[in-house]
Amino acid sequence: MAEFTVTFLPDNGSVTVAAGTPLLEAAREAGLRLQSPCGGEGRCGKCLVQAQSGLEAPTPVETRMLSPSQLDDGWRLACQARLMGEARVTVPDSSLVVEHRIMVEGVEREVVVAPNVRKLSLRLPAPVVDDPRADLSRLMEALGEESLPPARLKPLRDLPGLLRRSGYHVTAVLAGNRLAAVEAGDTTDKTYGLAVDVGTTTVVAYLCHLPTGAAVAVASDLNSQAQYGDDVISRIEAARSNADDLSGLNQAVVAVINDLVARASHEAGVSREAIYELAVVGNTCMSHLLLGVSPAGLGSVPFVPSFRSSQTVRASDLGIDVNPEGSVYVAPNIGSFVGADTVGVILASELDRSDGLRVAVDIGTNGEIVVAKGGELYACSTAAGPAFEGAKISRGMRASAGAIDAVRIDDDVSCHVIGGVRPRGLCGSGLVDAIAELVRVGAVTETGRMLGRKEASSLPEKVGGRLAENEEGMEFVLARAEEGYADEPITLTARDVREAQLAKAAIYGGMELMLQQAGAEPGDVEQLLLAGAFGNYIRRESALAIGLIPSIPAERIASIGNAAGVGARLMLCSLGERRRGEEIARRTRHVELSERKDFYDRFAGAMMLKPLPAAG
Amino acid sequence: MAVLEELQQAIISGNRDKAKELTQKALEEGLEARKIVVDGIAVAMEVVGEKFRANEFFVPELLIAQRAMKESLSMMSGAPVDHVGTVVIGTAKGDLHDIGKNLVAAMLEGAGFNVVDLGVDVSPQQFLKASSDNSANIVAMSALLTTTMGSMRDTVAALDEAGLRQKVKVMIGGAPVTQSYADEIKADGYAPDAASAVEKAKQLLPG
Repeated sequence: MAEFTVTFLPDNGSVTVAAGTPLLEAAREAGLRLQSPCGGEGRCGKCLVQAQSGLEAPTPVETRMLSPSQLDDGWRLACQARLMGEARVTVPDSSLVVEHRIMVEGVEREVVVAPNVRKLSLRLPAPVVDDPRADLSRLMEALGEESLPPARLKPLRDLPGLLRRSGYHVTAVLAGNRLAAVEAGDTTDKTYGLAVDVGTTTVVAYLCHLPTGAAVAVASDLNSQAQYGDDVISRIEAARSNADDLSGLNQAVVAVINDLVARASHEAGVSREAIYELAVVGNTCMSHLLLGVSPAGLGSVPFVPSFRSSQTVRASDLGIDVNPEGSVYVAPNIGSFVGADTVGVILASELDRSDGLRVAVDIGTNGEIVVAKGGELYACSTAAGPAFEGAKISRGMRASAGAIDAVRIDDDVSCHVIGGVRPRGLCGSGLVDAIAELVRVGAVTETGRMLGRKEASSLPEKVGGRLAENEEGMEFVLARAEEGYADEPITLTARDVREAQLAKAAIYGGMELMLQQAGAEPGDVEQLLLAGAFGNYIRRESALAIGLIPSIPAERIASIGNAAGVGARLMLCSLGERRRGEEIARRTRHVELSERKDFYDRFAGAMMLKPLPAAG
Repeated sequence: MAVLEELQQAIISGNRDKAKELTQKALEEGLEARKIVVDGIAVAMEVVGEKFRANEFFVPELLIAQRAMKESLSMMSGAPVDHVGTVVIGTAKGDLHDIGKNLVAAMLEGAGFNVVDLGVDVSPQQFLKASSDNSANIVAMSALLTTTMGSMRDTVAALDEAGLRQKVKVMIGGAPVTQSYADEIKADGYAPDAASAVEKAKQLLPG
């Protein structure tokens, strides 16, 4: 049997195969993956290659699928063309199966992109007397055996007109394996999804280009549900006591998401119609309120959610303004007060694949802590409060332009402001820095009391001079009026220090309990990851200095930013990661802190603004 | 008495170890537990309450002072002490939050009350039983969840039915609780924080 060498361009891979071998097979042997969704039956036209010689004459299938000018130029279908001599074959990128990888910020993760929503551009053969297949059959057969016909009427209704107007060149939109929509021409590049982290205080959305997984725009805003209360308990109470409030809470979060959709799509120059899927993470209460399901059971002992598993619903059913056929994947929860956002953190940090002892802390309103020890996962919520997200702090704000995010004190105070503009307020990382520095220089005691002017006489003049008294008590001027936005000073009040103190005591107390539960000491922790609201990269030295986290060697601590949001992106762009998230939700054990009698004692001890555990 | 003044400072500044050391010293010097409580601990907690009202001290200072106070009290357990009154305290049924309640209990203890802490998720029947078993002067209830506030109303009713309402004063507190709710359920008192709770409790005592 004669054998010939086929060389594939532009990569120059070559392979020697027997005469009569289909090019598709030869390509596979050379390590090239050509697209063949129809299973190599010559029905989809995706395996286009170009060759001038060495191949048998075009088959009847090829003559039907390809135009005369294409054939003249040497274009062939790799699944049909067979080798009969030495050949040099050019493979265009569009015919290759490409695996995109995304690098995930701050977490050093590389993930193969394989989203739930995929688009395939198809050139279908027009109907002829010898091929009078129905429009839908023509399309579905080109898509291959595993694809399912549309579940809804719209794609079916669109089909006849679309096919004929576009000359049978259409793009099939698949959600999972089901045909969700059909579009004219090649719209494969216009496939977007939105990864959303619905926080109790802040909501962040990442608009992602699905074929590549790249985030093309980010938008964030305060969760307007705050009008019903800052914390999860107040919102649960509102929803359970009043049907109108449940509806109001639901509408508030949907409105925020729609606003973020508008802003992100505008920023990226993408139409909302091109957004086909949302992947949403949030704590258990947030998941309920987004779906308009009453969280009433979470309001009192024994704290029972209405659902724990992931839910997939139509975007239009929720009133979310993306492609009408779009769907929303609400990720699964771990327990009553530890939700999908924590699953996101575990996924992003890969705590589910740790052998040793690794810990992640989300420094946000609910202060979730995850401990991974020898393959076991435990998680709790500490209900820290929104101080570290900028709420409840007099000049607190989210980490965006104008926020003071770092503070240093020597003989005077210097602040770093995001965006380099005049400061408008203080974000979480700035708050932690400010307190750490104020305690270090002695303007605030370890018990959290801000000194009066007279008591602070030993401080450098410029620093002591920033202590001032207002109607409620003391305050410290971080940025003077002439330095601030709209000539307003940025101050940290004595009350602000108290709010931060309570929040950090909850988090520290929770960490201490969780470590004890795992039978470990702070020194045993191999890695501590600090996650938080978007943009918040809390400085580990400051966190250690005020006892926000236990004294673990600094080199073992890393700030990983909005890990929950990263987790949502992973679940949006990869079905493998989505499955992994489901597994994580099942496996992770929820620890209910309020049932622990010793939480109170630990909370009390954790109030002190100094490195903890205290020596001696 | 120098040692008692020093003990006061140790408790006010929340220094547990010093409080323990000074209590030990006071006992070795022959002071009675009664005196240490009244002239040492109670005075310290009074000062703590004042500073709290003046916005100088906050929850953290109250908590650490209370821990120091407990350390001191633990050294004298079993010794006879005159209590100013007996309070039965707990978090209402259905509710597990106890930090606020614990703070109030500690402040009351520091002020010389005999405090019977029933913990969390306490039913009207449990309040009733503890109240009569301990001949309580006051039943103090805390709630953080609005739905569990209803249980406070039930407790007042239970005390009524058992004919104990005249003998026992009821005071309530907690984030969603208000004076008007206290009036509605015919409680005898309401306090917005731990320091005022002590004042209110003292006011509710007979005589």
